[in-house]
Amino acid sequence: MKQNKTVLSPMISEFLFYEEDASKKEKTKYVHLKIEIRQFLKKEFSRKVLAGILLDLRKDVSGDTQRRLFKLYTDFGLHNDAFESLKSWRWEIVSKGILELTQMQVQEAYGFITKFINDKRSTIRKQAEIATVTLKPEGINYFLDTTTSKISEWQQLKLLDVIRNKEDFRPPLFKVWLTSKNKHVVLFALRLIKYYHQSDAKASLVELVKHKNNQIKEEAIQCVKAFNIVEALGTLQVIFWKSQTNIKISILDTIAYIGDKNHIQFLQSIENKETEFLVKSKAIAAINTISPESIMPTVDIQDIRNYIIPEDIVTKEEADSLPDTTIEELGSIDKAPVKEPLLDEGRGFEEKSEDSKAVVKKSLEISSSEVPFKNPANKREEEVSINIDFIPLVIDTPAMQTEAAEKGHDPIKEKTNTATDALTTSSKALENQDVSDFKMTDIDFIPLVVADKNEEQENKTFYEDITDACFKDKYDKTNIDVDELNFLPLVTDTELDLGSSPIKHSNEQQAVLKEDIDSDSLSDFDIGEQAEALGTENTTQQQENDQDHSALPIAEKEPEEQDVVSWLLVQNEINEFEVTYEEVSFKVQLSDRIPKPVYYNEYEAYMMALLDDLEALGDYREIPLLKAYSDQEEILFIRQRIAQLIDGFSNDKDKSEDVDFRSKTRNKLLNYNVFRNLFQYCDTEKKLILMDEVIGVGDEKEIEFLKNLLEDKELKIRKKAAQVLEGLQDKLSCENQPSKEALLVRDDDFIAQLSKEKVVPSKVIAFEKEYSSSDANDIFDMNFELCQESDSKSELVERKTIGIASEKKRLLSNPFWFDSEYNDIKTQ
Amino acid sequence: MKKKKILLAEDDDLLAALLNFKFKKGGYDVVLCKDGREVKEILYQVMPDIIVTDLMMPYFSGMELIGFIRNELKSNVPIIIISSAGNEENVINAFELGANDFVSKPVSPSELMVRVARKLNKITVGDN
Repeated sequence: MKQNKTVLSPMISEFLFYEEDASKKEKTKYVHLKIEIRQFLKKEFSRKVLAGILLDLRKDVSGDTQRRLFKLYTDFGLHNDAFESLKSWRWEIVSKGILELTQMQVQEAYGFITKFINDKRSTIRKQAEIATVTLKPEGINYFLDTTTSKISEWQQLKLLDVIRNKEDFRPPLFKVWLTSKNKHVVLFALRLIKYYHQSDAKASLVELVKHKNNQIKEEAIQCVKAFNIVEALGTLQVIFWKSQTNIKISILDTIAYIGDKNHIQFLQSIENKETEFLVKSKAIAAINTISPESIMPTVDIQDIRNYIIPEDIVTKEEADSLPDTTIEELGSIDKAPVKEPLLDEGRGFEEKSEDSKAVVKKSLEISSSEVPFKNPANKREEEVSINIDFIPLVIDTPAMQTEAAEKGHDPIKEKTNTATDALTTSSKALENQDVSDFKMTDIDFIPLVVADKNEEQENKTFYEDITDACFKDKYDKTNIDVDELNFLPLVTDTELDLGSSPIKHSNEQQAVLKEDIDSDSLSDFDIGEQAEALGTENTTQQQENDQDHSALPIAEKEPEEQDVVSWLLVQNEINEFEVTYEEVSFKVQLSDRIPKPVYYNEYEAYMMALLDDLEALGDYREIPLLKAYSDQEEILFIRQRIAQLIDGFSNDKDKSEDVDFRSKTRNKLLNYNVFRNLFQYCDTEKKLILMDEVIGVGDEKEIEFLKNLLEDKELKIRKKAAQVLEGLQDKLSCENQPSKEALLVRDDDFIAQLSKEKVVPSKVIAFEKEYSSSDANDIFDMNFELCQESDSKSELVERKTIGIASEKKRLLSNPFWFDSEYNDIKTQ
Repeated sequence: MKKKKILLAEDDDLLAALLNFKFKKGGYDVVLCKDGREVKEILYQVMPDIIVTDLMMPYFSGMELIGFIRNELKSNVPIIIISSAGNEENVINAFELGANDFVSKPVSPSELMVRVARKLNKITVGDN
């Protein structure tokens, strides 16, 4: 392809830039080229290459060269291939053809392409729409008239791009299509009207504002706004309440743009009634657009009527400079808006230096009628009520205390709401004071930390006041008696003679506690002796047995003394629970509870491991083995273990007897059907052949399968299934118990016997029964042995095994041969 | 009269062939280059009378070429840019670097011929 391109490129250039006034040499050369290229164009591939070259060049050249290119395209006849592609049934080929014809501006193709405007295939349809609009100026008219399908947003953009880039394009009056039945055409027309500023469709636009389709509605409203159609405002107000939010916003935007003060009332009603925030704010914005600053901000605007300016901010000097009326008349003031002095814009900053002072003075000159202001002296009239009860009052010094007492509160002795009382009194005290008389006592809420000798005493008294009496004894003590720790277990040395009661030997216990027991080990403590010391009954046998074991003593409690748990309950006033303690008898030695280690020798270990494995992995089938082991075993615990296993397996066996292994297998085998699997992948003929084999090798499993086949769609299969089912049932009904020893033995005696009896079917059936065992156990008992076949007896053998004459021709030609042959054999 | 030499730098084979043919038919000697590297090599050997170059080229773009010719080679040879990237930014940058003319694609060969002729005539008049 590339080679062709390099060869053809200069040729195309020659053709493109050939001029009539060329020299003779050039003309002859041109003629030769023409002949050459016509030879070249005889091949389809070459035509495709040339068309590709021309299409590529079309993008790079413009003006006269491009026009020549288009002419060359048609002169070479390359457009014929594109026309041929329009007839294809493949959408991609048709699209490609339309595109090529459009790009090469083949106007002859207009008539052919317009037929595809309403094609079902969207790609062809879109390609045709663009081609129609591109090839001829009136294409847009035809397209809007004839299209019945949807025009997507993207398609609209592409079409608009085509028509606006068209040279010498005169847009038609698009209002004609506002009455189209295709709403997409109406929408596109509205957009074109807006784009080309065709404002001669006012009445239609006003009507379209009431359209059901929201897109058309919105577009019409945009047109109303763009063309300032004031007559539509009334309609807009009417449709406002039943429109969606985006439409409402468009309407409000339009009203803001073209509306006047007469519409403010309507906008205010929206502001009052509307719940949607966007719409509400848009309405307010519209009001402000129509009448600027008619609505002032109200949200989060502070009320400054109660603002108090402290006196000290206005100094005497300033007061002198200001007119006298400033302060004195502040008490009687009417509310009025502030009039800010405007600065002279024309002056520079230097010039303003002298004037600025005057300006500042002027700004400070607040007339009595302007600002609502209150005399600071009168501020006491209104009490400041601030609840500061949460702030604690901390007063340490006696001086502060006395002062506070004078003021009416005792912060220490008052137990309830001490802090709040102090604060209220202090605030009241503040009220009575002048602002100018500032004392340190006024800030008595701030704690003064002063080092005081009497502090300890004060703290004591303070604590005494707040604490309960029951704590006194406890907290006053610095030493805690050991007696109170009687809930803790006691670990004592064996040499101590503790006696009967731990309390009596408190001193000794103390001594014990003081001893360092870190270096002692458990073996150092002979707990048995401690048990005697505590008054327990220790027999000599227990002593002998428990020498190696520890018996932890439990401290006895005197009934009189309260224990910790009950004390806690009392303190918390929980009387519902009674504390009871479990009495532990020392007769039962803990040593008995601890299992003794058992040591096995090699054999015992092996046997125990084996028995463990059998228990984990075995089942009732291991019982005989276990019994054998049990008979042989002499060691008692091993025998016991074996007996345990036997019992366990026996129980399992009882449970699993219903579901025997072999019966499981049998059920599986019963359910499995070879023919069912084969039937899935066979056609009718094969199925018929397979059904022929069912009688020979089938059994009870096939009955259900054949019954299902009776409902098959195909008549042949149904009929065949009926026959086979009947035959199979006959076979099964007149069967004898199959002998396990009946093997497929091909010997002369057996065959001779068959021939004598001449009851082939029954024998065959019996024989065949060998293969079909109702008892799954037989499968495991079968022996598969090779048979000795002789050619002369092959026929008989075949008859024996299949039970029917094995004539292939008849088998293949007549699908119902079995029926006839079987009947023949029966009658024999 | 000696033929004027045009250095044509264009990586699009078809357009290059077309313009080459047009310029040759117009009586110019054309040196055709497919990328900026070739242009550099040729400029080291011989300086043409006018350079017609594309902006988007392999190895060495048109903008870099302009900078190379004006700053390194210190040559005032007329440079005409032809490019499909005819946005305002590119045009301004090209002129700032030292280009004499900018033609957006699709190119009209006839128009380009006229522009080349004008530039060459200016030089001729200037020389005179």
